[in-house]
Amino acid sequence: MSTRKAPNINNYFSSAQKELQLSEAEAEIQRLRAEIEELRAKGSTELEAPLTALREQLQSESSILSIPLDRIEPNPEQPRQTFLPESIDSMSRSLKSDGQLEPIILIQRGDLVIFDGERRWRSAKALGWESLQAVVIPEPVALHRKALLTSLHREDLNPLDKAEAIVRELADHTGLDAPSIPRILSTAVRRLNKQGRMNQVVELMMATEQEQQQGLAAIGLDEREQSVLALLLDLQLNPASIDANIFPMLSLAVDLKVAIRSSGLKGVHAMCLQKLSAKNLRKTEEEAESIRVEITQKVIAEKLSVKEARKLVSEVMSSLAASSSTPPLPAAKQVLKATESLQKLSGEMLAKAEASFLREFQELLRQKLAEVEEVLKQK
Amino acid sequence: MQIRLAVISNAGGSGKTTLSVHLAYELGQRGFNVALMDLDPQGSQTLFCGLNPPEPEQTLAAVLTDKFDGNWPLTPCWSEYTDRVVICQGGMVLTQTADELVLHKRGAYLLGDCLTDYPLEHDLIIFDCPATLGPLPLMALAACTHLVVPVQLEPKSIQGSAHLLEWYYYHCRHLRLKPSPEVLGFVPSQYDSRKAVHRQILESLPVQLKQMNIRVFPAIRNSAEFVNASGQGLPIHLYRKSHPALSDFKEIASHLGNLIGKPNKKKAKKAS
Repeated sequence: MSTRKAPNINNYFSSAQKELQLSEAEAEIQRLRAEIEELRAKGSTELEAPLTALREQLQSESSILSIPLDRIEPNPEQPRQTFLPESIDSMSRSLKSDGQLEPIILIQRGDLVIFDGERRWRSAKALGWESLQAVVIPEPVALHRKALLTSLHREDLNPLDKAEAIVRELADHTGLDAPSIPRILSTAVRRLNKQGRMNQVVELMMATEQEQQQGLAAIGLDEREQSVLALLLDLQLNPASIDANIFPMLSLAVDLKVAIRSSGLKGVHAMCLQKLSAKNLRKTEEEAESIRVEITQKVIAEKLSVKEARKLVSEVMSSLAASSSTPPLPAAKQVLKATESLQKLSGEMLAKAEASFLREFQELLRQKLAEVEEVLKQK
Repeated sequence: MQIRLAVISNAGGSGKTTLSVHLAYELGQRGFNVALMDLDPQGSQTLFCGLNPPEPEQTLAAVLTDKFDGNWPLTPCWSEYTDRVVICQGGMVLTQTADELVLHKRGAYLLGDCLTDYPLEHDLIIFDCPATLGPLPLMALAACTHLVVPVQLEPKSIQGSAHLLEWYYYHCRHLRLKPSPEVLGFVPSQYDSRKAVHRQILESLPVQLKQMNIRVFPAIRNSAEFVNASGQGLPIHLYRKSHPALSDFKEIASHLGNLIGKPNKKKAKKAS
């Protein structure tokens, strides 16, 4: 006797289930649309909003013009100094398929200088276009600052460009010497961290300018530190993060800076490759550089993750350490160091020193000389 | 609140009219005022309520014209036994209405418009739909707050109900019904526990529907007495007062009662 097969009704409802999913998806889309509208109403597109407003204002005031590409000059104060070929390529593709979506913004300054839209301009040139849609505005005050703000918070600005742009902005506004700025910041951050007051500063990021000034004044900073921190907060930048992640880019070896700008090396990767220094490898600068360049190329070509890159760097360091002559013992190192510093002590310097210090120094040398003779006798 | 329940199935003989009239009577017994609306050109409810075939102007077709003035043609049902159930009868004239609906600017929304412009005070309005997925059920979909799907526990009827759900999801979007009417649930009908196929489907149907968050109410058993009662124009409650099938309606009736909440105290209109 054969068992009777139960009817399988499972498949009957599959189309109905698809319809249900479609309905649910549509409900979700409507919910998200409502959310976007709400966010727009709240004006939470902080970064795009000023640009959009500017663009709208411009479009209403002056009409959009078609400007020949050869009349347009790049902006020397453009914070973005890196235009990777891939990024130009992707913009070119977008221009080719969708056309130019928004006008670029130009400044009338003898030539027409790009305020916003250098990537589109480069891509249009690459495509062989003859002109771009543009609006022309009069020279704004503090051009660099506005250009900085429009690109600072876009994630695709690399940390090196970011660091240089920020230092330039800080130097312009505080009158401080540009190379000293990272050190001023780092001293302040280190001290505030020690005092556990860094959070107080970070919290000021969202405050009004006046609140920021008052807040900083209450923390007890010197004048230079205060001006640096105040400006960073005004740019909506977290001073601790700039100190830890951005400014270190400035002290990278030249070959690493080049790799960031021309080959798209990431900042974190560069920081890790920086460990391959002449000092760490105990090589000359030239030797160290050639090792670093080789490893950098490997990191880029093989698209290594940060973890992988770190591992590679430490492997290189240990293999080089093993192959070089046995390192001096720590005690011997101290002697070597003392010898070096003694050698640096020139007659000129001695002449300038006070007699009391010199006498103390003389006494110390006598004692040490005796100790050395004693030890040598035993050896 | 007022519940407008569309009883829809695109398979014939799945028990739409039986479910409609029995829910109407049962809810009437529970103190709610109920209006039945027969959207079926066959006018089966007239038979089930023991009424005479109406003149065309005494049917729902008269409501669904631009001349309608709010004077709903409502006839009391089983008036010897209850004063809580009325009916707006259907009839062949509705086939003409269905044709005209297609060309009417508000086609699918016409019934909903009538109920908005000339509201009824009844706690429950039941739309008994014809066994198609044409313009008349679509109009019920746009006018209802809930729908209930009676199904026979046989493959053809189940497959039909699956198509009905597709139709429902599609048209809720297409007609932009906001909020969309809710599927109250499926009601298996004419259940014969001696048939293996009935038992098997009764077991697997809730599993399928649960994935779509749709409830299955207790099955209504198969009984010749339903047919006999309809021949007398009575619900089984009145025809065989202690028939075991009476208990099959309890759960869905209670569920509807809970949705309605307190009966509307305003006296509902009983007759034209």
